[in-house]
Amino acid sequence: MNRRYFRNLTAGLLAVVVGGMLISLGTLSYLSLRSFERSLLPELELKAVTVGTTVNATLLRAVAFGIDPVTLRGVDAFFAGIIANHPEIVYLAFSDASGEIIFQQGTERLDRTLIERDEPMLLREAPVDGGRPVTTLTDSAYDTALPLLLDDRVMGILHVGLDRTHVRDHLHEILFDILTVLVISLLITYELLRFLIALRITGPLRTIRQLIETVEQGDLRPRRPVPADDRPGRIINLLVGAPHTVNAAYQRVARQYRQTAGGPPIGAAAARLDALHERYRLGQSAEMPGVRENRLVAIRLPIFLFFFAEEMSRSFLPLHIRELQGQTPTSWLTPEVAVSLPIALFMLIVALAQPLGGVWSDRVGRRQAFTIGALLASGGLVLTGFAHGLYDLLLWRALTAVGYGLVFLSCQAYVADNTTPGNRARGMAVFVGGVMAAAICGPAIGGIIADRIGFPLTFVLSALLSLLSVLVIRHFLAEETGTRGRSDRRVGLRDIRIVLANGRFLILLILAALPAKIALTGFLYYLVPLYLAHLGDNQSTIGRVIMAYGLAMVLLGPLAAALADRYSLSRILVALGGLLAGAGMLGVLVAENTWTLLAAVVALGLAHGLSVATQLALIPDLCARECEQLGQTTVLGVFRLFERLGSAAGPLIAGLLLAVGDYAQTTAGIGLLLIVTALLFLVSPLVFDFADHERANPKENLK
Amino acid sequence: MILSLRISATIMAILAMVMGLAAFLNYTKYEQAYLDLLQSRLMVVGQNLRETAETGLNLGLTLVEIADLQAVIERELERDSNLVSIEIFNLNGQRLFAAGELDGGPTVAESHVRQTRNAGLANWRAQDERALIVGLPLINPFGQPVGGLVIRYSRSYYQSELNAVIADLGRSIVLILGTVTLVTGLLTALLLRNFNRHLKNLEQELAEFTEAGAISGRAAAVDDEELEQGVARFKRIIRQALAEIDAATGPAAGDRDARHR
Repeated sequence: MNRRYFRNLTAGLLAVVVGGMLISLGTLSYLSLRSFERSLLPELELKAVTVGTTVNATLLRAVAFGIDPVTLRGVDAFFAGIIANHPEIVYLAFSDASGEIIFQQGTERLDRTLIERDEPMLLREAPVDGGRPVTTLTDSAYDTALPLLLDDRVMGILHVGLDRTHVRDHLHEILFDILTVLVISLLITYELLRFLIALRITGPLRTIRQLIETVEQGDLRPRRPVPADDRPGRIINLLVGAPHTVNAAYQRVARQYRQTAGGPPIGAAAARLDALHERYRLGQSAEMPGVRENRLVAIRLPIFLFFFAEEMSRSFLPLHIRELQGQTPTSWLTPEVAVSLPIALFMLIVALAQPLGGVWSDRVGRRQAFTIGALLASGGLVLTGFAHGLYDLLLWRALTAVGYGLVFLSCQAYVADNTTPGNRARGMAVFVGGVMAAAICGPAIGGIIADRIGFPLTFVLSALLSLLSVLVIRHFLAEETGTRGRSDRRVGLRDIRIVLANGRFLILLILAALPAKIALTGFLYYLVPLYLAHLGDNQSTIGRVIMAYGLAMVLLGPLAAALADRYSLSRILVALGGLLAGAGMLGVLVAENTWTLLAAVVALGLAHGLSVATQLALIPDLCARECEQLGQTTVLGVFRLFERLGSAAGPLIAGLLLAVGDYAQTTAGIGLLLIVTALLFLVSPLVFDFADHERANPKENLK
Repeated sequence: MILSLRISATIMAILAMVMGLAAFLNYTKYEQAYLDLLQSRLMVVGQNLRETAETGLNLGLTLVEIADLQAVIERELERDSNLVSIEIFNLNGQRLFAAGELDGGPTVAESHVRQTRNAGLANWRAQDERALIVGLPLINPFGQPVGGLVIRYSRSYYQSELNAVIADLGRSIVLILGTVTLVTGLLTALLLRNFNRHLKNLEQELAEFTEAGAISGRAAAVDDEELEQGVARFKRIIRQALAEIDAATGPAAGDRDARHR
């Protein structure tokens, strides 16, 4: 049962899920279609009869004046107008009393054999049953035949053809939605399976192996048993039980010897007992091995759930704000800037909540901080959904932001608590992976759901998911002991002064990091939903377009990191990212439609995949002396703080640009900013010596 | 809970969620298609009535003077038992002709007048608790709205159709989930069979080893599994430690110490 075995096991389980999902969705779609067709057919027939009756009534008016139907003019055009107004009607045909078609429109799909076969019967029976309509299913249409009667005399028969694929066509319109659900479900499944396998299989097995290894190394310290609700748990407890037996035997022997000898062990026996005590480390309790790794696994699912809940409103938040702003207009602000305010405020509070909330999180513990943060965010989400106007919305977004900030920092701190400098990057990958998976799934699902149930109820759903993350974290995460107060040193004003004095740091911040964040929050979070809605796209499409950002970033991110490491391309990749994102946004000047915006979003995702992690990788090079003096974590902390302030500025900048221009100009404006700053960043080494290796070796400092 | 059961339950929960969401998407689309179809049929009915009324207006009559409108709307109401009411009114809201279940009073609902005014020359659609509503303006020969026509259609009929479809979808989901649960459960158990067998053997071996506190002597069943080899070494060390403790204070401790070394 090696690593390969578990990879195969996960792949096998995923295959079972994918197969199950495809078969289930395929069967459900087929059964739904049948059910819908069964239900809609009578209504379609009624519609055909209603339209047919109207057409016959018009023809009857002429015929009643004694006009021979054959001599009527403009009937084909009249038919064409009716077909144009009723998309489910594919043809109209009128045959005279001899059964010959004299007027027709769209009759490519009319089954002529139907006329030849049924017409005589209809002509014969119509006077008897009063012209009862007859519907027949043909290969391509539902044909409803309505006899035209004048004084019980059949003047002709009108055929109204209804599209057989009408219901199917309607359902095809949601094909993209279903596919989106499928893709996202697979991602969620992968997250859950990974969690479950790690929690129930690989985690306990790691503990089992490590328990065996510790005993092999002569470590027989007693360990606390685990809950034995499954076989791996029982095995762990059996493994823990054996050293307990040894410890108990040692205690018993030592006690017996003491009683026999009438005092403390003496002489050679005492020395032997002491040697055993020393050799097997008997009597000293120890932590269960693998606990820290398992703790990292346990945090991933609540991270995913919480950030998924938060991301659900990504595709429609600006539209929700605009609706509320429309109800209570602000006289002192343009509508565009007013809409950007709640998004900017959210970002600002998240930026500030982190350094301030960190101290509190150290005091109360990560689990508690996560719980309180998620509860605050849940409350904020519900209240955001039911806000009355811009002012109370600002308050509820602030509340949500405080919760979001607390959860964010407690997750980061939890990872830091349970990792060492050696495996912290892997630990952070757990955190970032959860957040990115949520960023891909949340907007698309949120958009699809909001399309159906509206914004307020989607916010309620988000809040429920956020509460679910609380339940998961309370269930799977034991309150950690001994970790409080252990998080990294906080960023202080003095640290900020020292780091900002470095010109290279400022160049990276101003010419790369801030424009990237402005593009993210100003373009993607603020502008894209409004722009796409302006272009007539529905919420589902907006969600899918925003999802493309996360997908592009995830796909290119690892490749960019590998390239940067192998060829020392960090600076080039950062500049390339800016140029790519900027060029993508300028695309709207060529053509203003959903596709060019999608291209801009994908370009932004690719650009951030290239540059965001690379920017962080540049810090130790650019700030070697500061890293040596303050520590890399503090320098990165300063960088992140200013990045987040850039995130807060993004929506405001976009709002101001939109207030003076249109959507295309605003998008192009942000794109231009990215291109100019990227070019300046590229040529900046001509002014500044970019490499800082000579001043100090940062990698040495990090050890 | 058995591991395969846990994993199967998780997979089923995901499948149920996905199917629920897919069914919800399908259903909302169906509901929209059905509503569109029904309202477009009502529009055709309304358009016919409107043409009748506007023919009278074109002849120079006022709305109230088009006497045959009452008979026309009554005839239309008789054709479809699900039509709740048809009302024709002027822009003051005064009901001029009406048939079906009507609220008391000489005026139509204020919302009908407001929506007709707001829609201008366009048709409008609405719903309330009891009915689906379509409204059409009545336009005089000079292109000015002079009144409106409102058709109300039974919501209970519409709802009963939707309920039937929901029940149908529910049955489909239960059927599919039941079948897929069975198959998925079997496949999951099959995939985890080896893993479970190994763990079962391991547990049995360790249980025997530590039974009643007696760390006793059955030889480790070492096969090519790395884990089981580890367990064998684990057992050897535990036995060795116990033996050493036992020997530490015994009469022949020195001899045994030598043997262990």
